[in-house]
Amino acid sequence: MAFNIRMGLPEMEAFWNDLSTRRQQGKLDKEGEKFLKKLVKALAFLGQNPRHPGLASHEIDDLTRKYGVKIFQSYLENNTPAAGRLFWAYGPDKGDITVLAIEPHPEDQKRGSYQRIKLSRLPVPGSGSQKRQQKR
Amino acid sequence: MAADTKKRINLRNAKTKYFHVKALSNGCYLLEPRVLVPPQAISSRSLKMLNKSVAHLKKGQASAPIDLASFLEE
Repeated sequence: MAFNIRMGLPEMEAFWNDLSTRRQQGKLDKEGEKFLKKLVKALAFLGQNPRHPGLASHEIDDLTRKYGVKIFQSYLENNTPAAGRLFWAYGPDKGDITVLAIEPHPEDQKRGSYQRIKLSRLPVPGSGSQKRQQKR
Repeated sequence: MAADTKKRINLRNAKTKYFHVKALSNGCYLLEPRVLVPPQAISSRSLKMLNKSVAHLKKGQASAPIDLASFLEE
């Protein structure tokens, strides 16, 4: 069964309109072109078969619980750590899928990303390994 | 543990592949496991977008179906 792909209101629709308009006007940069290509491919798969293996679609229980609507996540890329992700839900009508949000690929090499790297928690003072060192 | 002739050391049974290294003035080196992106984290911007989209979806509102044909032809 093929699905109609709709965009969530208002931001996703605006995002899609902006992307497609810039594409038509030839104003998309190289990164934008790359992203749009991945997005269109993923949306085409989503419309044909939401369970397409390339999308690795799965329900996000925490979001489903939060919103009271089944929220699914699909990937824009394969074999990529921290790949771009699509969040979508069935509806509003039968045979419809609404794309609710897009989490683009994190910029791992630009705009001060190194400063934003999250670190693990520091060991608690007086934890096992430090006590052992003190004994020595 | 000792550094080799090229001042390198081995970490045995390291649980992570990448580390953030701080060289302290007292000669200590502090290695912290580096996490580029927590896999389940959603940015606040995307979460805001999700909130609005779901609110509209519950009211039965979404954009018109999008046409991918023109993109797929190329």
